[in-house]
Amino acid sequence: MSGLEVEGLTVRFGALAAVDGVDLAVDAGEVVCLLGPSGCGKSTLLRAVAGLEAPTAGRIRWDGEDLASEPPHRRRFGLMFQDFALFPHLDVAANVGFGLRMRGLPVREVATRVAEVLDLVGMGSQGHRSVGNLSGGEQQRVALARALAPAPRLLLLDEPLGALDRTLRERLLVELDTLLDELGTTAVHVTHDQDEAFALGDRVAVMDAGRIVQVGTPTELWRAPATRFVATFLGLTVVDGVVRAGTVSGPFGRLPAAGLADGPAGAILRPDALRLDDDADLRGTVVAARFQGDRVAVRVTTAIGDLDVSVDAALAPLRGDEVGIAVDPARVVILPA
Amino acid sequence: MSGVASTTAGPRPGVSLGWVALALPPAAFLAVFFVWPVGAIVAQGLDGAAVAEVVTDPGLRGVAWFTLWQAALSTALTLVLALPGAYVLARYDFRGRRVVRALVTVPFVLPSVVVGAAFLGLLGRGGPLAGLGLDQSVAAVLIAHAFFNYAVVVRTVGGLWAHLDPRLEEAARVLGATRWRAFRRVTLPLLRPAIAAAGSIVFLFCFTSFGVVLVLGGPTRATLEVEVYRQTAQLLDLRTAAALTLVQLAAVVALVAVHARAQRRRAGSLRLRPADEVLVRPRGRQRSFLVANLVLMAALLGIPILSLVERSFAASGGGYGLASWRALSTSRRGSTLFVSPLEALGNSLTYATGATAIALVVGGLAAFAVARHTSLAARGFDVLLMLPLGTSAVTVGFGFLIALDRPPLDLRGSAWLVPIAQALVATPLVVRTLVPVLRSVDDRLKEAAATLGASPWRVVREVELPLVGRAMLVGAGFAFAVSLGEFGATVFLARPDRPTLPVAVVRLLGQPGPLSLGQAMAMSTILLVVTVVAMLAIEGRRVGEVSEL
Repeated sequence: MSGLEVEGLTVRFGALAAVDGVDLAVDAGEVVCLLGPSGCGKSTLLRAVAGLEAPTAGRIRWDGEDLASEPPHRRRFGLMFQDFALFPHLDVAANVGFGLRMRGLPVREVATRVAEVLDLVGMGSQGHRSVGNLSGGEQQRVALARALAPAPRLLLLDEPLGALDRTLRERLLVELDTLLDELGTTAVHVTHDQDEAFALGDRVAVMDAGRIVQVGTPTELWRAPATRFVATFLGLTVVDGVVRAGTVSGPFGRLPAAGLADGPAGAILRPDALRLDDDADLRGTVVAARFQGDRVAVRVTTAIGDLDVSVDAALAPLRGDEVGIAVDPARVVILPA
Repeated sequence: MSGVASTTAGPRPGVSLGWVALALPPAAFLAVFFVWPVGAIVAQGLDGAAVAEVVTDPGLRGVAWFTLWQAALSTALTLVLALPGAYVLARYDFRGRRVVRALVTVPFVLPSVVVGAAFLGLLGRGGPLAGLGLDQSVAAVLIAHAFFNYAVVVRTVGGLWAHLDPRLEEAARVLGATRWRAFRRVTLPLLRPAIAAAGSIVFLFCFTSFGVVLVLGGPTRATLEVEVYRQTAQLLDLRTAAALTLVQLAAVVALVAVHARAQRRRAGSLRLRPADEVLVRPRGRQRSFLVANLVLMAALLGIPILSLVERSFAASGGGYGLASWRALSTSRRGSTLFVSPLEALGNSLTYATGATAIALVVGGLAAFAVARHTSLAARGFDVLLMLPLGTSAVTVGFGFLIALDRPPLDLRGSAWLVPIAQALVATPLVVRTLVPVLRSVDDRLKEAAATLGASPWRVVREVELPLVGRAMLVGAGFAFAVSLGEFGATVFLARPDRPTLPVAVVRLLGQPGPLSLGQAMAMSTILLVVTVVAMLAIEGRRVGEVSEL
């Protein structure tokens, strides 16, 4: 197949398996985000793909070819670091041109390509600057340009927006998304931020404790989190219930749970599975409201915990209002405990 | 398994083939030119009867005892004088601070012979302070040692002090501690490892002191080092010399072990601050404290140097003149000096250049090897590299004489003998300058280069070498200065007709007559100027550098 294939990859540091039997495929042109809390092994997985960590077991292939014996400098992958790792002794242009020089390109071609890539990231005509006095956002652009310049077959991004403040992050996120899309670059992007993952990724792989728990499009993940961990990590509310004879019952009432064995279960109450309904039995108090364009995410404190409900902005209740919440059974995902 | 990949990443616990290739040349150099010669001495000295004679001979026991107590007193005096100076230079922001810091370092790199000559000129007959009656006294030796090692304390302790978070002491003050108690309970314990490290280095230097004691101690006083030289060069008693060397070697190894322990504790996790944040503008009593310390530095470090220059212009009948300087270009027939002093300067520069080149290659390779690994092998290698610094130069020179004078390696009369011996002493300085800089090179930079297509060798060339380039220059400067002033080994190895400046100075000091003394002062002045120029060139480049020196 074309693209990246990771098969049964394990990376151990002593007794700790940082990456524990991971399978992952990334098609040519696809952007996959590795999403997970810090320490879940996502960066190690990325570094193993780059050739910077030696796998304890498993295979990494590109276009079907095993990369085991390929050192990092011959993989033709680009890697962008969280803290950018710009070469302090080189200016912007020399940083961006580094990979091209390593490939032995003539000086003139290097200069042309560097100018082209710097233009692409909005840093045109800044090639002579020293990297020491670039702002955070500028460093990020230069680091991206440096990784992109040699036209890597795979771009690896290790929390490239993590070191930046929130406003800058959001702006650069949009730019990065547009850029990856325009260039059709195959990329693996590591992040602990679900907004970032959902914005960039064609698919998102959620990692926990060295394993990939679920892979899917953002919509698939959102609609049907495979485990309680995924649901919680995505910020969704999981409420405990009990399954008996194809029905789950809990504080939210009784919902159909066909095919689930009897026993404890968790119900994922997504905002779009809930609506305000004055006649509903489940009652609570509005404690917060977050505006999202024409809709408002209303947080309601209830007997079963805090629930987020998505409401038309025109109909949003005020903080302190007492409301009733109705559950749409069709949109509730039931997980075995 | 991607085994090749691991060579590009940072320090690794394992030892790879590439690492061995890197470490092999310096290891071989050390084996042939350090372990073997010193081993040869040990083999000679391991004669039970000889050691027993040394240990029971009251004269030689006196030498050992003197070596020990003068080193202890010298260390105490150095610490007492230099700790306040270290504080002032680390914490007070005042105009000219950088210059003072640089100047304070000068004595440390001065050739011991020059230091001896300077104090002789100051305290000896006809000198400005001859009235103190300190000529050929123990006090002169102690003060000269304090002069020499002041910078060690300022560098080692001040280096940490300059980065110690001042808020710790402030927190103690807010919690009710007086200024003194805050210092005793908070700052001092944090500094203790650095003080111990500095103290043990100073002790080591004083314990193995050669040039200073030889010139200043008079005919009756000798350290082990001086005694080894006398037994070898004057009494031709190699057996006793070897036994003495063995005693000294044992003491040095014990000292190095103590020092290594202090160093390890020093690596503890302290919250360090950038030096700029720690600096305060002194006011009130702090100003007086600062001024008092600057006066002390000027007196202790400045007067001997100035008096050296002054003596070189002193005319034999009183007053001043250029007689001593004019005599430099002439070679007097029948003198113990077969060449003109200017030729000696030429020899010195040639040898020191060769030694610097060797030290850069050997030390450079070794530094890359040490910085790349954290394994036991690498740490052991690091200690091995430092040993020549702790071993007496006389031992090395003497070892060369008895080990490298017959096949398979007969270097008698080879012009390389002197530079190799000097390089042995200079290599540890290159290593210590480069290793911290190499370690401070972010692994990510190397990884970034690798993913951009740079082979391991190109990572070294394109990333590491440019980043440590300035440190290389600093290391080269140190190596050059130290080689230029090296005396203990060179005096054994330099051919009589090719003396270096320090050797020539000592020969002249041993001759009667004011003209010889004046010439020695003039030559010492030349050596002083060359060394200071080399050091100031370094100081200009090391601003903001990490270094363990």
